[in-house]
Amino acid sequence: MLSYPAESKPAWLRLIGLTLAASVLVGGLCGLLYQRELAGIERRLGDREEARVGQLAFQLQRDLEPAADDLQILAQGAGLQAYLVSGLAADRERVLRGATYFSQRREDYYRIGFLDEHGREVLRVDQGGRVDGQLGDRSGDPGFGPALALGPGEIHVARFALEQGGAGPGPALVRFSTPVFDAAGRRRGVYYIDYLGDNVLARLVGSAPQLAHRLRLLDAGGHWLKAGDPAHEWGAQRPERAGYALARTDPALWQQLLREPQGRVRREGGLFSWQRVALLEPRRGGPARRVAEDSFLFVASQVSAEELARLSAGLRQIFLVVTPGLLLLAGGCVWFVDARRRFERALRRSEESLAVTLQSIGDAVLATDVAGRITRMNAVAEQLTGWRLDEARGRPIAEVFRIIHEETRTAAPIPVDAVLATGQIKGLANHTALIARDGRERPIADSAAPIRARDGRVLGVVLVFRDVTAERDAERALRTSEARYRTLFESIDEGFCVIELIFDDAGRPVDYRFLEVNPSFEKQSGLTGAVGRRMREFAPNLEAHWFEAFGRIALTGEPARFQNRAEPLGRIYDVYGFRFGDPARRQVAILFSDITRSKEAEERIVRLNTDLRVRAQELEAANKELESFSYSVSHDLRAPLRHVQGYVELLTREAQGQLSDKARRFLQTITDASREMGVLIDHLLEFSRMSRATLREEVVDLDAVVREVRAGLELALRDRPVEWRCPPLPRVRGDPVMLRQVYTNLVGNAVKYTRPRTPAVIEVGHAGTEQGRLVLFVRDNGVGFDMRHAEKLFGVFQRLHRADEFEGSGIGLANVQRIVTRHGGRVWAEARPGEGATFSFTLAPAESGPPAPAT
Amino acid sequence: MKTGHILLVDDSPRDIEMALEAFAHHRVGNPIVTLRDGVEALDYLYRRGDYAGRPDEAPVVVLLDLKMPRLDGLGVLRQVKGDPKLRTIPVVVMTSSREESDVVGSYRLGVNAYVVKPLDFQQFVAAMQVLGTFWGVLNETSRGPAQPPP
Repeated sequence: MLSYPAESKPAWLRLIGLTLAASVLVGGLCGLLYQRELAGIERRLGDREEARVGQLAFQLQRDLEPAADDLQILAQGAGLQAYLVSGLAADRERVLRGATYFSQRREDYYRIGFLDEHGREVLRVDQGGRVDGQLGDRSGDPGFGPALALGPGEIHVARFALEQGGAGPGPALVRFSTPVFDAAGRRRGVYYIDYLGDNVLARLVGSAPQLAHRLRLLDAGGHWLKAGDPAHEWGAQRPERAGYALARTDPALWQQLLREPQGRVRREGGLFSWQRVALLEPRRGGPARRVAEDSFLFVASQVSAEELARLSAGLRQIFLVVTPGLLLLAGGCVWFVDARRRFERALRRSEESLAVTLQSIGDAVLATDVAGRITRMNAVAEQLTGWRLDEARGRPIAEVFRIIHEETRTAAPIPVDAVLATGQIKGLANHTALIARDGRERPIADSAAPIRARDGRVLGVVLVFRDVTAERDAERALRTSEARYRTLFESIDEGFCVIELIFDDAGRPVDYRFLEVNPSFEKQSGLTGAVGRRMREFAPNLEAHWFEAFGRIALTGEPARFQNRAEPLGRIYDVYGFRFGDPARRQVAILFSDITRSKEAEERIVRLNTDLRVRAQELEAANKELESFSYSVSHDLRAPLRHVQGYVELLTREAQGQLSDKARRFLQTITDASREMGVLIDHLLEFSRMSRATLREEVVDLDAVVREVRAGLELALRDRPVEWRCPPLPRVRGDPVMLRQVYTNLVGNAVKYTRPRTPAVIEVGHAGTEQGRLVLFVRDNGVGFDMRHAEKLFGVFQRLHRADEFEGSGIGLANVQRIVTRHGGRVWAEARPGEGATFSFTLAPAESGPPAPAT
Repeated sequence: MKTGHILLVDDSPRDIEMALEAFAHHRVGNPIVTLRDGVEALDYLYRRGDYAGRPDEAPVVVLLDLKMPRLDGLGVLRQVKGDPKLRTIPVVVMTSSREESDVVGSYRLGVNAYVVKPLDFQQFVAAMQVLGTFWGVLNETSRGPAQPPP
């Protein structure tokens, strides 16, 4: 593939330089062309104007010509000769009629008249044939003197000028005059016609009104008769305007005008063309005409600079459009030429670098001709096959590129053949190995493609292959890890799934699709056949927080662990989600388990705990009440008893000697009964105190406790033989005062109920453990009891023997049970009537075990 | 021999009667003033209210029951032992209660002796005799803090 070389700065600069040069060239040419065209326009305009000026000059002359003829007719008329002779009014009238005739027919004739040799007016006809004017001296009229001096038939034309009158300049006039001779040949005066110059000018203008602004007329003195500005005109008659005369403003041009009868010149940025015209040409073949020297005019045309510019504006516009176009064209040409040059260079360079590129390719490249013979190899190909290009070139490819199936160890077809046969690109079969020249074997991957000419002809085959040993290893490792993952995925008890989040137009996560689930998924989620389906299909009303939570993971990539309830599914899940794969795919992997049951259990426990706390508070309140109750009892129940006894005593003392024996016995019974009741109350209070007292827990030496209890009973056993069996007891955890109470009661009972036995046998020992607690017991060989009543034993005020058999309040065992229970243990009894009893209880050992729960 | 009076505070008329009988039996010669509750006891000791006009003579001992209406024995004890003018008067708590809280509370407030009324009348009489002779006779002139009888 050819590549267009990257633009370099010097190339840019060169291109810009070339473009500039071309632009200058083209611009210059355009400028020259413009100048030439402009000059041409001016020349053509000048020619046209010059021709027009000539035409106008001719028209002027032709315009004036009839006046000369008319004058000669009038001057030579018979009436005039007759009048000159007779001087009669009638003859004068004839002359006047002739003049009137012409005056009425020629509106150009401002005045026609005859002056005598002294310049006095003899007759005069004014414009339109009016003859009523006052006659006077006109010897000062222009041309009177020169005309009078002329010979017969000669005509004098005065300057084209304004008539000078008393009240300032009059109309522009041209006076034609001729001398008049009588029959005797004497000069008798001058006949004249005043031609109306304004009419001449009007006709000149009228011949080309659209060009009137260019028309100029100059008199013989260089004064303007027609100028660009009317205020500059008639300088000869208006001294204040004399300064505008061309002779003054441009003497050089004026001199040129006097020298050359016609011509043109650039003047004031414009074009000035002129022609000199005599007001009357001497007629050849006719009566002689003498024309005054200054009776000439210059007809001229002034094309102003502005007009010239206007005329050339179109041209300029054309050039303004054409020039940039040409510049662009020039630039484009430069670009084209340059680009083409660079393309050619790139092509050359590409061709040069193909070989280098081939050598630099990381894959092995091998090319063959259409016959399957090696034409090219790069360095990697040389290394993998073990052949050098110069050795391999021209050899059949099968010789250099030996490949076999890795597993079957049979020769594998070389794709080159297939490509040559079909002209299609061909991949290599999997598990192909290349046998190098030195016999070394490598797994390779390759593909073969035809090399085609432009016309589609197959020129050969290019074979690209590479050593895939490393890839193969990596792939194997990947497969192993994949298998491991798969096993985990399949076997874990937690649900696992990969989901793809679905977002709405506003970018909010609104749903997700299950892409993959593991076998436990169904059990944990409760959803069947989830793959490919959307969550909303299962639970249209699933709480939004689920979508939000997963959407957040998909968008931020931050994994999250949370527990939440899915009400529509009726389950609570413990969820761990993390983003899966490419963030753009918005996939989240979720590991979860259904914790509904444990969560509900937890909630139940919380509820129970709450209930328990309420109960405990109620119990505490009840306990408080009990406390104040027993306080009252200890005061108020004992006081009456004391009073009973006190007053019995007072009575006995007061009635000393007056009471019968029977009365004394009654009083004694009252005293005994109240004393018994006192003992009952004391025991009851003791029991109550034991229940309420705070449990102090420490290590207790039971041997010491038993020793003290036995010592306390020695007095009662003074005259009774008792066989004690007291093996060493283990140390326990408990309240020493309370435990002492237990042994006092139990051992006391044993002593009491063995009274009929000789000897009494009392055993205080222990018997192993029960659920981590020590089992302790007190056994005797006393009267025992019927096990049918065993459950009554530990109740308050419950007794199995009559009071007259064995004294007692029925509180002791209740107290024992209370204390043992408070230590977290239990107490029980085994007995048979007449065969003794065993009282057992459990306590926590000192060494280990949890502290006993307080009740 | 002139002896100081004993102040007996108890809401129970029977207990008062038995106490008086016991004192009489043992010939305790001190005059005995009986009051029925804590409020009366404090009025008496401070010589105010009904007792504003009594002579300025403090009892040789106050025998005080604990459980009484209006103001109980511990309340009286707290006031007496908290007042420097009354602190030197010996106070003996005499009650049916064996409750530890009562015993500890009384000693903490500075009681001079704590006696549980025995159920047995003979014992009661004996106790009264000890109290009467010790506080009423032996301790009459000392007027200072003293130790209870052993």
